[in-house]
Amino acid sequence: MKRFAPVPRPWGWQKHVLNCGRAWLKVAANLSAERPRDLWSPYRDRLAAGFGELCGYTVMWTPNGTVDHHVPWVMVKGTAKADLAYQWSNLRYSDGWFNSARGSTDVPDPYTVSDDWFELLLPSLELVATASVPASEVDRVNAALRWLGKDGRVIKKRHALWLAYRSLDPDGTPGMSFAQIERWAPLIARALRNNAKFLHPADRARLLAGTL
Amino acid sequence: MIRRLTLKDVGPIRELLLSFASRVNVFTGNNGLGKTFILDVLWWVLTTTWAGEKVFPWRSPEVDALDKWQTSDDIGSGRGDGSGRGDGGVSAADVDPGIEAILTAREAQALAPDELVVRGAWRWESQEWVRTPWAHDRKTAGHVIAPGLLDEARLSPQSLVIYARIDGSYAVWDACFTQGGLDSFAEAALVLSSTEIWDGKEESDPQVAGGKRTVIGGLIADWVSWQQRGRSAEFEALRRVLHALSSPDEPLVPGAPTRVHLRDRRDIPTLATSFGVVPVTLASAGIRRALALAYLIVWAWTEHLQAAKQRRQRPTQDVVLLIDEPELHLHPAWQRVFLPAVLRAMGMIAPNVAVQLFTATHSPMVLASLESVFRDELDRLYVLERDGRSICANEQTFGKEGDVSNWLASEVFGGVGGRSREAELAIDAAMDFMAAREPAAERNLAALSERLRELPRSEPPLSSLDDPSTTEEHSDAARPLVERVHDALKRTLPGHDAFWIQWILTWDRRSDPSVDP
Repeated sequence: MKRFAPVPRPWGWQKHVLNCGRAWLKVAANLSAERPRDLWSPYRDRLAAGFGELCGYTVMWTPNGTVDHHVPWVMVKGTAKADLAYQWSNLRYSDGWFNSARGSTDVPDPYTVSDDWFELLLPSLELVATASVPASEVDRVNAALRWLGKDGRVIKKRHALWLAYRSLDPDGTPGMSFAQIERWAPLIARALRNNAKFLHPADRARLLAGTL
Repeated sequence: MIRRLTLKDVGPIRELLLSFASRVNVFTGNNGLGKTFILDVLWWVLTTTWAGEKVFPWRSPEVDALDKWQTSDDIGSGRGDGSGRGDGGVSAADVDPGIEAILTAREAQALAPDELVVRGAWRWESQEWVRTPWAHDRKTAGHVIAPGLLDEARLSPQSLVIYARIDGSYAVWDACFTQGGLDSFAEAALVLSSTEIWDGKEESDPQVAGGKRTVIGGLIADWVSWQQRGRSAEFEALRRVLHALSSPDEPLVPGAPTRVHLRDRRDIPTLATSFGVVPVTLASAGIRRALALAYLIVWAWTEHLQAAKQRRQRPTQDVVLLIDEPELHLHPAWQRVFLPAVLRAMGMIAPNVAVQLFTATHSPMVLASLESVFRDELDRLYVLERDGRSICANEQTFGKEGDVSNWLASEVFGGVGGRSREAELAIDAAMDFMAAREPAAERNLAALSERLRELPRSEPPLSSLDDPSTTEEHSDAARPLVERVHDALKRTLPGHDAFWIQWILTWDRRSDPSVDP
C-alpha cells in the first residue's frame, strides 16, 4: 500500500448526498437496514480521478473500481456515526474484487498508511510488511496482506505490468516506460528504484544521475 | 477392462470408434453430444441391461419420412432397394444399428479367453437390443475352452460394475449374482433410485421365507448395522472411504446414530462435523451424493466378496466405475479433489483390484483435479463434438492447463473462456481496434463501431445527471471510437483482468490523433 492524499470533497456532495443521506437515516427503520441507500455512485468517477484511477489498496491502475466505505456500514449502522455512510472523507477508491473480499474486515487506511510499512519483493512481486509497522497496525496490515500479499488476482496484474516494463519493443525501448509504470503501478516503480538491477540500463543511468 | 467401443447408427451417432485407457477415461463436450449416452451404452455392453431409458437407433428426417412404407426386413437386413432414398439423403436401408465392444482381462484366467467381443444388434420387430453370445477372437490363456462354458458369466472379465447416474440413482452389476448364460445377466443388475439407495429395496421372492428378499439394506440401515457391530470390516471400510471422499474443508466422520423424526423409528446415521452432529438425511445435496457413492462402493465390494466366497470363486480383479458428472452438487473446492479421491478410495478397500473409470463432465475443476494424477499410458481424454448430423470423439492430449480459466479456454471446453461473453466481445473489439492501427491490418472499423452498440454502455457522466435531454444514445455517437472501446471494456472487464495492461498503452495514447483512425 501507499499513502494517498485525501481527495477534496466534490461540489454538490453536501446537497445531493450528505443531506439526502442524513434525511434517509432519520427514518427509524433505516437505521438497521442491511445496507444504506446508494447516493454516492454518481460521484464514483470523481473519487477515481482523485486517486489517479489507482486502487487505494492494490495501488494499481483500475479504470472501473468501486466506492469503498473505509469504515463499513455494518460497523456504524444504528450508531451516532451512521452518517459515515455519506461522508466523503470515508470513501476510498478500490478494485471491486478487493472491496468484495474485504467486506467488513478492518484494513489499513490509504489516507493514513505510511509508505515504509510495505515492501514489494522482486522478482516475486509479493507484498510484505516491514518492521516499520507500528504495533497498533499489525493486525490490520496482516489482514490486508491476506489479499494484497500474493493473492492470484493481484499477482497476475502485477506480473502483467512487470512484464510490460521488462519486455522490449523491437526498437529496444521498454514495452512500458518507467514513467508509465510509476503512474499505473507505483509500488512496482518504488521496488524498481530500490532494486536497480531490475531497471533497464537507460533507466538505471537516469536513476544514478538523479533524473529518474 | 473395456478396450474398445464401436458404435454405428446408435443414438446421435452414425459411426464412432473409441479406444479406452486402462484407468481413467474422461468425456467432455457440449450438452446433447452423447456423454451420458456413452456411459449408458458402456453399462449395457457390460451388463446387457439398461440403467435407464434404452438407446435407440440413429434417425434422420429422411428415414423418419420413410417409416410408413419401408419394411423392417428391408431395414434390418440392409436389403432395401434404395427406392426410398431422399435427395442426397439416407435410405432407411442404410441404417444398420450396431454396438461392438472388446473386453479384455487384466490377467489371464483359467478357462477365460483373454479377449472377448460383445456385439449388439437392434431388433426392429421387438424394438430391443440383442447381445450376441460371447465371441472370442483371440487365444485363451493356454486352455481349451469348452463351447458350452463360453456363456458363463464368470468368464466375463468385468465382474463388478458401479454406475453413478446423473439423476442421483445408482446401478450395480455383479457377475456373482448370475446363474450362467447371458439370459441371467439381468438378474445381476441392480438399479436403485435415489430413494432406494437410502431406504433399501425388497423384492418378492417365493423361494425366501416371508416371500420377500432384501435386495439392498440401504445406506441408513446398513450404516447403523455396520456401526453397531463394533469395528466391523464394513464400517471400517466405510469410515476410510468417507475420509477419502471428504471435502477439503470438512472431513466426513461418522457420528453416533440418532433419531430424527418423531414417527420414524429408525436410528439415522450422523456425521460429526465442526458445527455439530448432522443426521445424514438432513445433510446437503453434495454431501448426500458423496455418502451414497461411498456407501455403494463399500456395499458392492463387500457383497461381491461375500458372494464370491459362497460360490467358491476368486473375487474379481477388475471393477468398472461409471460416474456421470462427478461435480454434481459439489463446491469447486470439493470438485478439485473428488475424482482422484474416488480412485484412492477404491484402492483402499480393494487394493489388488484394477479400476477402470469412465466419467463425463462439464467441470473444468474436474479436469484440473486430474492434472497431478493423469498419465498418458493409463488415462485418456475425449472431447465429443458435432460432425454434421453425427457426433465425433476427438482424443485430446492431456496437457496441464494450470488453472480453471485456461481449461475453459482450451479445446476441451470449446474455448469458451472464463470471462463473460460481453467481456470477450469487448476484448475482441479492443484487439481489432489495436490491430487497425497497424498499416498492414485492414479492419472494418465501421463494423467495429456497430459491434460496440451491442455491448453495455457506461452510465451518463455526472454533468448530465440534471439534464435529461442529454441522452446516452446522442452522446455515444459523438464520442471517439477509442473512448467507446474503453467504455465497453470498463463495463465488462474487472479492473484486475490482465488484458487491461495490453489496452492501457493504447488508452494512454488517446490524445494522439493516429489512435482513432
